[in-house]
Amino acid sequence: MWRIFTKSTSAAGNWFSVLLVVTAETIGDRYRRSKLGAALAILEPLGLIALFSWLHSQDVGRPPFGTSSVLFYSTGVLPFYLFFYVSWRLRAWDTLRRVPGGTRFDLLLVQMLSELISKTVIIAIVNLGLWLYGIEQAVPRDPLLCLGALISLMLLGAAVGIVNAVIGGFFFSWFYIYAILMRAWMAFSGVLFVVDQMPPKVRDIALYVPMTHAVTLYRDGQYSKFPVASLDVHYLLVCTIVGVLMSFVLESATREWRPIK
Amino acid sequence: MIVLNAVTKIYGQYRNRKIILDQADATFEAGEHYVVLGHRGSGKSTLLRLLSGLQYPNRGMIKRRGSVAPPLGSASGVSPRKTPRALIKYLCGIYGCDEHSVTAVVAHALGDDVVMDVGLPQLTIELRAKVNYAIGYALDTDWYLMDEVVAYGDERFRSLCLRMFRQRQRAAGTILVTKNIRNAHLGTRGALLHGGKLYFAKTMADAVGLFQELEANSHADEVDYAEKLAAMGRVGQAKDYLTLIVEEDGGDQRIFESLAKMAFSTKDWDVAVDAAKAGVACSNASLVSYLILAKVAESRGQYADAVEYSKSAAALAPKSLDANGILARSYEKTGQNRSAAAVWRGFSAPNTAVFERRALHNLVLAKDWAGVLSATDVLAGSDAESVTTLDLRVKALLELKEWGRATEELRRLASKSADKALGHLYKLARSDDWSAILDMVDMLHEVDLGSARSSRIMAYLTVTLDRRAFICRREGKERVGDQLQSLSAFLKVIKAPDG
Repeated sequence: MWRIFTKSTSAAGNWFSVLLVVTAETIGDRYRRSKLGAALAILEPLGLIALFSWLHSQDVGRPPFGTSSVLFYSTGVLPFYLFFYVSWRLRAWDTLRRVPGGTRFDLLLVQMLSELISKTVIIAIVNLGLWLYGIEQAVPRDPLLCLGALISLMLLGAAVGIVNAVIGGFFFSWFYIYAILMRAWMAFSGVLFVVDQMPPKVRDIALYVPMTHAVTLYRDGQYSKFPVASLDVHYLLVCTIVGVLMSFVLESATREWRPIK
Repeated sequence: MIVLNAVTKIYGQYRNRKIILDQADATFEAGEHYVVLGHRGSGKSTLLRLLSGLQYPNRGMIKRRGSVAPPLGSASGVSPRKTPRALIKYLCGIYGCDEHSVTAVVAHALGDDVVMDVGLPQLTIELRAKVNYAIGYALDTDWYLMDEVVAYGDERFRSLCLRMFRQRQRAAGTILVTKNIRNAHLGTRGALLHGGKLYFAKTMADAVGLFQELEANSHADEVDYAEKLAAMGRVGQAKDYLTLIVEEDGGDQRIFESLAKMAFSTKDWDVAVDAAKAGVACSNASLVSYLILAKVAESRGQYADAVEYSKSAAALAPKSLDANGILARSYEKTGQNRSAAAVWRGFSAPNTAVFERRALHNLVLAKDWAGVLSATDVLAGSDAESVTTLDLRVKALLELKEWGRATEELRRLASKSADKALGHLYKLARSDDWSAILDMVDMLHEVDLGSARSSRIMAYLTVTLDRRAFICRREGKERVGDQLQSLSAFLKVIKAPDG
């Protein structure tokens, strides 16, 4: 029994170390391949945060919540970009470079982990910068809650990405449409506003979007006393699990008719 | 162990959809060495990529117990932008190998440590390929996958590759996919990839045999096209076309046979020989290839080779006129007349008499008088019996000292050609067995020798008989001397103008 346990533990350890090696390689390769691409991947969300903060300061003058507009928008844009990037990476699910000797599950984990790690590092750097700037709220109230929200966004991104891959497998132009839709989707995901303070009609629509709950959950972990009356963690969990399972079923069911590498 | 469970792999979509593997099941046992034979486009390379996990199946499952290296020569495909050193580090991280020992092996194989730190895209194609092969062998895994080749590059690197290949075979399993049966010796277990399915043969020979059967028809279209070109007089083009297929694809028995025939018809002996030899390598039962080899050898005067090749051809087609003809002629040229005669006599062709005559000729040259007698027995007394045949029969009987039968046959010969009959008597009179002539005296009196009256042989014979008679009398053999004298007188009478 002990031998089986030791063997299994050792096998799991090996698998995990391989996963980390490939994840590190994927992150490195992604940012090594194109310096401009790497810069854009970091500058695009940061630019958006700067833009929204500037626009907001021109219009209202005080942050939507907390003491810093930059922090508020970074707690919305950066988690949302995790969702966006995971879904964008996985749109190429059928042609992604495979993990040698690995399975589809390994490949999925590598892609999700690589985005989670890289975005978490960017979030940490931004928060550190803001904290050094003097914004106390940049230190998360509950980092684990933030991580939970990020994981949930990552899984939602994976589900959407795989569904996109399936659609794109039959209708390639879908990717262009999705890229446009995604930017618009951000407006309905609670990234730019405090959901509880949104007009009721808009809020009702936004609350159907699971990412809204994930972003609110993230901000709940970031800020103390963030308004969470509209947050439905149960709904978020169900949507994440159902979304992931449905994407798996859809991917598996259509595998025979898609051009798979 | 690697297990394929109902694996389906499909390329393309809609109209371009092509099923490469169709619910293929297979079990590759650990430590075994497999050679998977498959024709072009059968999915061999795809199979390797699936086994190594570089591609996923559309359906089915692949279970791997133990680490499987990427297909040999494609290590850089895992991460094409790295330096060899960084690639080794990455692959060692995946396969759990010792980075330092792998790096040392690769550096030694490349013979140049500087290359290790140059980005793969900056290396020449040849150097990049060497890096790939060296890394492929240096990684310590449970399975090694090879696509067509196990060695690459210059002589030194090739021998290094082969050494590493043998070394790896001792400790790990290998799977080589190939369309070339000449690679079959690189494994111990044979399998066939055909129609999207994997078939495991009991022995490697079975796998090769099955593959050859399938291959015989796999290039049918190409060969048909080339033969049509040749029929239109464009033999050169047809040859080039087939040569190209051979270069690209390794060729098969039918292609080699067709190419050999075309090259032979244009007297391009070297190409004909190479193609025919390749045809024989594909199949020991390639009659056409053996025939071409025999014909070329005969044309070049290499009769010993011609004998060997035509023997093989004749063994495959015992009634082949070409094969037996070359064999018999080559036997003649190498002085093996008895064997030549046997081959000529072995024919069952319509014009048997021609071959019988050639057989007789060879038996005479071989001084096989019993053989001559036996050969002429067939025709003895029949209408088909020529003077020459009868002449040889008499000669054989005289050589065998069968005086009684010889006398009878001489009588028959004399009735057809007195000249030839007297010729035999003359030779007999000059030989040590001259006394046998006395048994024939009665017979000579009975036949008409008039037609030889003016021949010189008659004069020689009478002179010889007179001389023999004189000697006999001197030795006191009066009776024999009288007999000989009487015979001589008889012949002189015939010879006389009024005789």
